[in-house]
Amino acid sequence: MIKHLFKLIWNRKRSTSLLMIEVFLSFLVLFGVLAVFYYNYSFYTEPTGFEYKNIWNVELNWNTESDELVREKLIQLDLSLKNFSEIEYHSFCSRFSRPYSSGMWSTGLTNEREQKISTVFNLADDNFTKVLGQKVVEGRWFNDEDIAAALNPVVINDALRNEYFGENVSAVGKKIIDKNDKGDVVETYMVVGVIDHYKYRGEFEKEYPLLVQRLSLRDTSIDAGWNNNTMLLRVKPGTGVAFEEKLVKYIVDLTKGWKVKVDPVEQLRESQITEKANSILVSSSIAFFLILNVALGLMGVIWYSVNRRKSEIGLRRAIGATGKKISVQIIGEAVVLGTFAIIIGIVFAMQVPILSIMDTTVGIILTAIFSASTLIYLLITICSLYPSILASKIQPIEALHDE
Amino acid sequence: MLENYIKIAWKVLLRRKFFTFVSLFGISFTIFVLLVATSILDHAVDPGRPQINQSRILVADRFMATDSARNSVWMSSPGFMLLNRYAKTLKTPELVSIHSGSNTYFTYMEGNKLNFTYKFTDDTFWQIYKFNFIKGKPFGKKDYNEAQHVAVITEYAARKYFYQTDVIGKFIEVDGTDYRVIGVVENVSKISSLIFSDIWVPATTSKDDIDNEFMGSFRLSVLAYSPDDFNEIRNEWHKHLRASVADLPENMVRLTTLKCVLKSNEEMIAELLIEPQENFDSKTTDQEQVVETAGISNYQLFYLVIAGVMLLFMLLPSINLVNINLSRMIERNSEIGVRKAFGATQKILVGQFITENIILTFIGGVISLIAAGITLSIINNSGIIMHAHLSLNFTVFIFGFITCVVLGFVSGVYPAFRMSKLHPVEALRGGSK
Repeated sequence: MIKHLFKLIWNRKRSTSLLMIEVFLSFLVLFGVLAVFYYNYSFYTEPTGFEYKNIWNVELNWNTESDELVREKLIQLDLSLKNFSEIEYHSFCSRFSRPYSSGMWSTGLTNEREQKISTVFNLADDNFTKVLGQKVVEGRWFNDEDIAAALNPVVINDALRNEYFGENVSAVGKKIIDKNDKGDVVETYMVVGVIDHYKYRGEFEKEYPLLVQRLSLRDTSIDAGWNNNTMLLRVKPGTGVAFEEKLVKYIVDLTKGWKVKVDPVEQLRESQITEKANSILVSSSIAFFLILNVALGLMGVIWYSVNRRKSEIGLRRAIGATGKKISVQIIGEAVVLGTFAIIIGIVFAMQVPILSIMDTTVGIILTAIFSASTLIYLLITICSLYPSILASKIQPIEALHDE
Repeated sequence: MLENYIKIAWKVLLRRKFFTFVSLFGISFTIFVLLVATSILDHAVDPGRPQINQSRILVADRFMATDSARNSVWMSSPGFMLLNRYAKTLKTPELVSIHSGSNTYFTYMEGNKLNFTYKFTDDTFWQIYKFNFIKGKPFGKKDYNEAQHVAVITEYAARKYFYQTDVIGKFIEVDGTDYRVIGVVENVSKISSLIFSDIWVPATTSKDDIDNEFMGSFRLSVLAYSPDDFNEIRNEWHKHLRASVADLPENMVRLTTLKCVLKSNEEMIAELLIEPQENFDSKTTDQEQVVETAGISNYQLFYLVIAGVMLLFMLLPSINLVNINLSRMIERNSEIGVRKAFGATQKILVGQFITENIILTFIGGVISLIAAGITLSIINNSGIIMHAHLSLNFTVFIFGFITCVVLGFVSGVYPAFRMSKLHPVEALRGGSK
């Protein structure tokens, strides 16, 4: 049966080759859109590791002021924020550590097996997990014990623990050594805790190995200007713009003219998700119309070919083929044609992981190939269904009349 | 004869309505998408007012400093001091303006949070970019030199802040300082990011220490007397840039190779899509040479990429149309047979079928033009692109026209050729392979 279908298609290779190219291109369009979708979705489903409700991001900016003055004002701010009943906790961190930050600070760390691990560095204070709610899975978050610790205390995430120390190996109390290209030790860190996740750049970001250093406003070794200008607040549920205004005025007065910008983290999240969703929406609706266009065309062409092959179909009916068999033949031919197109399409699609065009796993590509193929088969079946019903109704007498 | 062709085409269209629908759907959708894309692109390339001088404007927005060994690279926008001392003195251009990048600030009003964008500019800014003043006037040389706290705001900002546009002489708070409003202008589209803002104030009123900023957040716009002067201006600018090494701040003294390219609008847009190749080869001693190759090749590449994407996008609908046309051919076998029998040559037949196809494409083109018009007005009103005024102008229309012809021709030529090759006897009998 299948061999016969192949033969039928081969006999009309000139007219079917164009159809095949069309289906092949449709496959590529579907594959592309689906791969991008799965790529983003796979990140979206991974936990970010932090809460976003009732958290405000406060960005502080000052003009040229001396480090000592900035530090003094920040400490003053730190102490006075405790007086606001609306604020449950507040935390200082670097601007590249806050949720939905656009920036990134990363360094390559080399483990004992000489593997280079590209690691993201964050800088945050003792209250960071109280505000954002990251889960500590081993050891503890920073606290007063870390004041004047001999080695630079750090908290790492699961991903860094797995890559640096090995899967599920305990990391607390162990050292992480940061070497430069020449092999000299730049810094030695002491791991005090492990958190499960902190994808601080948001849902659509890959989880990188992460190392969090302890920030303390009183620590003069940390450059005040660059690193301390972000503050995160966990506010009581229902706190609104009125308090925001009050807080901004308060901080401006206290710091004598700093620029203060407040953004609820929930809004940062929304705008990031909307942006992503819009770009996916535009590309997928264009793809949808392209495919719809192809589907309608395909249906028309199959319909025409049924009309044209009336005599052939009538003849089959005359020698005893049932209507159902005729239908199966028409659909079968379309499916075989689709299979050819998909095979060529897969050859092209597999180039994506082979040439590593997109930073993605083979799993995503395979899922995209699988679902694009399924959709193409579905499309072909639907498009050939109506013409095949028409074909099954052709009477032998029509065929004889036609000749 | 054309009249006959049109008549036949019309009859054929009415014969199989489903096919006509499918063809028209494909054609209109394809042209529709291309029209919308073109109008957005066109809006960026030629935004009209206030950038009516666009073709004579050169802009520098990136600055790079490296040491001779290229070990350390500093990149940012040029600073106010650099531009004020070395660009303001350029002789070749008609006008020179220095303006900052976008700054945003929040202000609270009656329990609402307002978000405004503001820029620092100078007086010549208003001469290079011809804003449409609804009320008042721009600030002049005197206001600028005396660092007067005056502001030009958009209609949008006026309505947000004052709930009206009749606001000359009123005070608006810009990042903690009160400015007196002296002009209200029409909103500027966000696509024109170089000049887009809600509020413009004199750069001399900045609280930052911009007089000592070698690198910073400023941009340079120069207006040439004619585009022919571009190279001359670039050369003069590079002489000045080399001279500016004398003013390098202490922490940058080693970074004596400076790069700050003056780009035309097309080159700026090209950069959005294609990151400029920093071909800062240490062997290259001739700076001017670097300037020319850096911009122009990107710009050509940009149009190549755009053309490539558009062709790829047209490929699928074209093949679809070819398939449909091939199928429809069969029902016209007898017609072809008769015409051939009466002496119509292959050439004439091909001409006829292509004409028919182009007519069909034009009908699709008209439909897509209407659909695109509606969509663009939806985009304009939705605020997806702030203050955009996308429209179907002449350029877009011409592009749509060309697309129609190309699509009609491409999708018609192969079927027409196949059709015309039919043997008359076979065609009359109604059978073909």
